[in-house]
Amino acid sequence: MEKRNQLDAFEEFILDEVNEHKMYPSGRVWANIRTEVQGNKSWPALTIIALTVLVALSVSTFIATQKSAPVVLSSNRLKQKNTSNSLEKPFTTYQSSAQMIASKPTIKTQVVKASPTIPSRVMDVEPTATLSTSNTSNEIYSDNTLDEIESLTETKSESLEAANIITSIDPRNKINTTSLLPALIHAQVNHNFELAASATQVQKKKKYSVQFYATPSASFRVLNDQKVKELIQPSLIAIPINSPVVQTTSFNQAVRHRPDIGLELGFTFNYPVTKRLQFKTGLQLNIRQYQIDTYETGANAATLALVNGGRVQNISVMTSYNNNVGFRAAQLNNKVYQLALPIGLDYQLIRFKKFGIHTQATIQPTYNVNKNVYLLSTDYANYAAGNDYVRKWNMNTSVGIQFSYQKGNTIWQLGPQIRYQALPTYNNPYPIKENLIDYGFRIGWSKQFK
Amino acid sequence: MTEQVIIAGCLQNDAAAQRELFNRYSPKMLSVCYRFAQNREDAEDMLQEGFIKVFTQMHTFQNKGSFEGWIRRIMVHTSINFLKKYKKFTESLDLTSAENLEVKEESIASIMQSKQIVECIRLLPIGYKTVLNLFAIEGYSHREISTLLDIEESTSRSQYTRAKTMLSNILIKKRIIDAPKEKFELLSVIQK
Repeated sequence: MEKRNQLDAFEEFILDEVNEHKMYPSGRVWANIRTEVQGNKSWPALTIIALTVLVALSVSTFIATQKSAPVVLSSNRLKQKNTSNSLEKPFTTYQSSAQMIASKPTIKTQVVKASPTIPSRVMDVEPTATLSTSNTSNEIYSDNTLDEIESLTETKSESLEAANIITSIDPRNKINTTSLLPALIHAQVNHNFELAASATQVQKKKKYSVQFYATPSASFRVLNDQKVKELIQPSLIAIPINSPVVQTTSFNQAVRHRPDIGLELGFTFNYPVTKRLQFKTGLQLNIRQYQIDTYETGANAATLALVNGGRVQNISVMTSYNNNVGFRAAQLNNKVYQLALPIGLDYQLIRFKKFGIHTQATIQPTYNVNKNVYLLSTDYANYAAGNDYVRKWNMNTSVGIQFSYQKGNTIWQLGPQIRYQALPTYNNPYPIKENLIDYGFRIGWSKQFK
Repeated sequence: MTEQVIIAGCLQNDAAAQRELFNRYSPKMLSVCYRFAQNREDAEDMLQEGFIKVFTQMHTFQNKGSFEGWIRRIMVHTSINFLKKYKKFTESLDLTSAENLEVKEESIASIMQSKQIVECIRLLPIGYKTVLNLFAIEGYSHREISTLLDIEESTSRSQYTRAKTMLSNILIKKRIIDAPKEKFELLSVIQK
């Protein structure tokens, strides 16, 4: 390399200024280097949770697709079967009777009345079976069909005496010997639509539920001082002079923060959108806090650099907390109370008789009710009261997985949850961006209402 | 952690030592890369590539000269190779349009002056700024630059002269430096 002994004043000026310049790389650079050099990568919690949710969804989808099938009658299929069977004599013979029976208002009333008491599996009845004729009578009658006929005959209507006769006969062997059977069957088939419809109505009477929950959590904060690095470039005052890392000021080296216990209390109204999916909204109180280790000093001025429209404005505020030196150690508690309106979805991943696994995600418009926070000055040297700079409205997001246990109309839910504050705690001009993140464990209790 | 301890740790592929080394030198080295790069993303890619070379080639450091200088040379070479690789250097080597470069006149913001000067250097056409960076800041000779960039030595010289003039004009327009007093014109007026 050539020695440049004859640099002119301009070149020297450029050289000096350029050598002063420093830039701070983003976190991804080191992450990529580490992966390349060390060959491994740490897995953040969010990735693990996302993967868990994906796996759970896949498993539940697989389980769901293994179950048998359609619950509601297909009118096309029914029509087709009706047409083909109507050509067969025995059925044709009794068709008019069936229509007569079906058209009797008393029967209709009974069927409709009975429908809510008929178990949902009534809808599983294969209509083709009930319409088929004697050749396959032994195969075509499922137990469900028989149960259904029995349930119909068990109604108190005296006009269904014919059905009572049938119930006294072993249907598997003598079904075609009873003249009224096809008629009844036909009537039953005709009414299957009504049954299906009424059953659907039963289904549509969905159960609302109200959930109350509490979530103890550990409150952390994520800091980003990119703007400081780019625009302000802090002095090294925050780093002790004898520190070996004196050349590399970064936020995390300058501060000593510790997570603390937070809490979330709230209730939601849940409305079922589908069998597994519920829309939920409610009201929630968040308490979030973390501890700051610092030192108490005499009153001195701290500089807050605020960035407004690309311009940096320095504001001096009085404080008695210094990040490096002081006459005694002090602990500050950055604590906020927030009211939130969670709006989200709850999806049942896996369902057993009483147990289930749910996943839920919400967005939460949030209002900061009360706050007691301290700001780090932008030279990282002092802490000063920062209530004036706290953003009043914010937005949180939350995801979680819960294990549920149902007993009657009540459901208990337990499971991990992460809540992330999407917007920085402080207003835009304050260049150090702080996002809060809470890792919690939700305990919920729900009651269902029709 | 002293530099020797860091180097020893890096030679043993110790992650903590590598992190320390990165923390210590990345701000300066990113600045070096940024002056060559088209944008910050490219600069970070160059930095990443450079540090991977540093860690994997650490055993080749002979303890002759400064460690920072060694890292810096790696960063410069990586940056040049990056520009060549993505043809960013050769594509922009045509300097005819450089004369028409427009610079807005503006007052100095409160951002630090060094940052402004770096940004002004980055305003130069890529051929100019590369030569200027290599010669005036990194201390390479025109012969070394010609080898590095695959250009004639005379081209390097002429580019440097033009780059310097252009940068000077930009800095004047941005009011970072004062315009030189026009002695010659005054003299000519007096003579007349």
